[in-house]
Amino acid sequence: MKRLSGKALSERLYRSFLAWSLFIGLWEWSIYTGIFKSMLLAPPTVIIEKMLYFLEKGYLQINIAASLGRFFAGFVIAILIAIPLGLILGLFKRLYEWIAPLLNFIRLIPPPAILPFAIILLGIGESPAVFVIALGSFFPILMNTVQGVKETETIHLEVVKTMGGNRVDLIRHVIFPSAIPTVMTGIRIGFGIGWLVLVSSEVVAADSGLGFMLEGARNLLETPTIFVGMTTICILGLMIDVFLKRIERFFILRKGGGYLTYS
Amino acid sequence: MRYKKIALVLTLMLVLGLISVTPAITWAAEKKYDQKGGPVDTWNRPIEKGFEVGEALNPVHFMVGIAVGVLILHLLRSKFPKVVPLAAVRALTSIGVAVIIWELVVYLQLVRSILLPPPTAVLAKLQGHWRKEYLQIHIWASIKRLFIAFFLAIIIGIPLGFLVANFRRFSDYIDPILNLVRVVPPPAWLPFAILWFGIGNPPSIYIIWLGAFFPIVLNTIRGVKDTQQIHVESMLNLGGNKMDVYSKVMLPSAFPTIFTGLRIGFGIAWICLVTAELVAVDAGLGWMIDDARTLLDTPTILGGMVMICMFGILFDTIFRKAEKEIARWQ
Amino acid sequence: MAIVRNSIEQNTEILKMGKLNERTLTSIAKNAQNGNHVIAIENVSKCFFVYISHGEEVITEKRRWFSRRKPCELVALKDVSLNIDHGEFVALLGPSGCGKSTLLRIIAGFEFPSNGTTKFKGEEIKGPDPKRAMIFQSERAVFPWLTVEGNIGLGPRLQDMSSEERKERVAKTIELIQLKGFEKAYPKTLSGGMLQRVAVGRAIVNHPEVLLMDEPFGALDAQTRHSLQDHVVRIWQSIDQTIVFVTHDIEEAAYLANRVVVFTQRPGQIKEVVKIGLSHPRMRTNPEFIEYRNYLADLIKH
Repeated sequence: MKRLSGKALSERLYRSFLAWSLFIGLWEWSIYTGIFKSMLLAPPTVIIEKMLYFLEKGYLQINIAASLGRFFAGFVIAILIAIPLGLILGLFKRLYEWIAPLLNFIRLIPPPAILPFAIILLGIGESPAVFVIALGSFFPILMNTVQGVKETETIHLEVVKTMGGNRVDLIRHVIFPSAIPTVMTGIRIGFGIGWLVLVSSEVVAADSGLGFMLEGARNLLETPTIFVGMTTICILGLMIDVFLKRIERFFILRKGGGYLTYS
Repeated sequence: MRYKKIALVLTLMLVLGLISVTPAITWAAEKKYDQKGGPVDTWNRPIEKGFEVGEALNPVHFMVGIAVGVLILHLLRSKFPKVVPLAAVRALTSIGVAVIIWELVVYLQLVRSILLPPPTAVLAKLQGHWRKEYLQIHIWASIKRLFIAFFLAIIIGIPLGFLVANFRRFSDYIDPILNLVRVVPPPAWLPFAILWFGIGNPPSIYIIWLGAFFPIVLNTIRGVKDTQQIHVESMLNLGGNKMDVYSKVMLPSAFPTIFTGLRIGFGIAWICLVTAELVAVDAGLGWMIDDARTLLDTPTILGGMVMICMFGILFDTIFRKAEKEIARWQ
Repeated sequence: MAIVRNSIEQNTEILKMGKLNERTLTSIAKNAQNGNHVIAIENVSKCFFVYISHGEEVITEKRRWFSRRKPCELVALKDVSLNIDHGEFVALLGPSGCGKSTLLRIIAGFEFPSNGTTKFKGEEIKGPDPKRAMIFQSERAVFPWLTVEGNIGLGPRLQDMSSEERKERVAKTIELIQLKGFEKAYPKTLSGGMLQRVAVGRAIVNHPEVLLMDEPFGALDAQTRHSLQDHVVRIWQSIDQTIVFVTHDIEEAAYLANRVVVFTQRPGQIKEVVKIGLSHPRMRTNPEFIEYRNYLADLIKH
């Protein structure tokens, strides 16, 4: 459609480049002039140096592997449980209506609050963190699956019924495909929350991973390492988010219509 | 409408009354769990942190009381279907059944009660904490922190969103930085925030603020940008100036989106609050839970979780109601 | 300039047939004699530049100097001159995409001509003005967050009118558009025809001097459209007003207007100005009406 008075792309690129260089320049400058103590704020050059050093030593890779392993364990468990359960709850509306308040009750407990309990229940180690991450990504996926199943268009169901499809056919050929875009949105939101919970559980209680690296560096007052950790988390999160957005977009475009939700 | 609410309150009072009328026979509960062998549970000991444990209810009475309460609710619903709302019946039933199962699992010794303390023990513990004004302190600390951070997020986020959405030049400069900070999960800021502000309220408020801020800003931007050109033109045509367009067209048309942002932001702030309290402060519900963990005081852990959940539901309901009330035109 | 010369002739013709009420007649005659037009458009041209960026069509008014691609030039209007007098009901008729809506938006002050001048009562048009009220093509232009009353009362509120006067005016307008009993209703509960009536009410409550309508009934079903057309005629007769009406519906133009300006295909130019010498209310089965309609259809076709 038409868009009136769109600004030239080159101009916007120029401005964001200017903003970036100003931001980074000020950051670096503020430390060299002593406005901020180097203990409180590490200059970008030092951060990059430190990052390269860690990469060389393999310290960063170990932590990234620990974090990603933990995260995907929880995330995959959440997906594997939430989607079938969501399908069931979406299909059996009576059951869902009775269970929904209870689910809401549990959904509103922030996952980190369950962490201490999970530690007592499952013991120290990987399992409490995985459990909490799974719990964090579980509810958005579940809720979106239920919604996607509920929003199946009756007319599509009727089309397959007139073709002589049974219940299984309906689920396979209509309900599941039409719910996929909504489910993907749920997965992306679930990723956001799971990622948040991963970092918070690692900061609170872990002996490896990027969050642990941050917390350990704080104890040793190693400011550059904190920034290295934050940058790594930021880059990883961005990469997974872009990837999931691509998939979501693909499904939404295939369905023709639908909407992207941001959170 | 009003009768419905009154009826709901009355039934709630009835259920609660039934539970509390059940004689609180402390020794029965204690003996039940002690006599069957196994380790004596910490939650029964009245010496923790110098606080007394409240009186535990008889588990059998407790379960029967809840079951009777749910049944009465269903009876009321069938007798007066207009007075008792279906949603309340469903909610109370499913939660009641879950609580009974929880109690029963422990009562039948399927799970060791030190790992999963029964609801009666949790209630007793909460009662004890309440009496010693231990619970109130932590609730107040959490709520205060949350409100300050959320308030700051609103008064900075909404105007900033307006500016970014309306002024291309401004947004070209601010967008890259906004995007950079947005992708860092707030808990990752925690060590850094502690380094800067020290242990206490400031770092946790900062984290909570970050959690609430971005959903609010992003939704404000989206809402304002989605304002329909035709509405802006209508306003100009009716003789409105730029300020009228901002306040009478963009604000109301963006309002539902902004409110969604507030609700999402609140959810994330709520997670960040607990995280921050587990690490960076010395009071608050999150701290209470973590402190109880070090003492293996499972009833307090679960009690704290229940309290957090209650407040979550309370705020969520308030948000939903307010949204419905204010955006009636949708 | 032929149009100007014709206007006195036309007025006497209307007078003979006893078509308009007394007040409108005198004002038309007076304005025509003074050569003082409500809206004067002289040699107006309008062109846009169309760029393709990221597979999307971007239409701009200014040429981009740093663009890699050459723009496609789109001339919407070319050398259009038109004078509109007080009390006239003018229809701008043409195939879709001929620039008639652009002309209306220029009159309303949302867009500015690339060439030529537009004047409203002798003054250059510099921006939107409540004196030239616009009724948009889509009923979505009604603010969904305000009630019917709120929507209609917004214009007076913006003009700092006292609350009693405002209430009185709003009540009168609601009566005029026959929406009594729906004062407190939100737009989502109203039908398309009712919404468009709200849009009409919102425009006329300010007592504008010119009412600009941009295909306001295009999206409605035939029955609603007919009743709204009668509505507009009634409003035009009851409060002495100038109306400029954009449409691509030949019958609508012939049914409503007393002057139809026919546009050519893009670039939009005036092909012919047709005076409709029929009295209101008009009958769609009237042979004279059918003659006019066929004449207009022929004009558009060739």
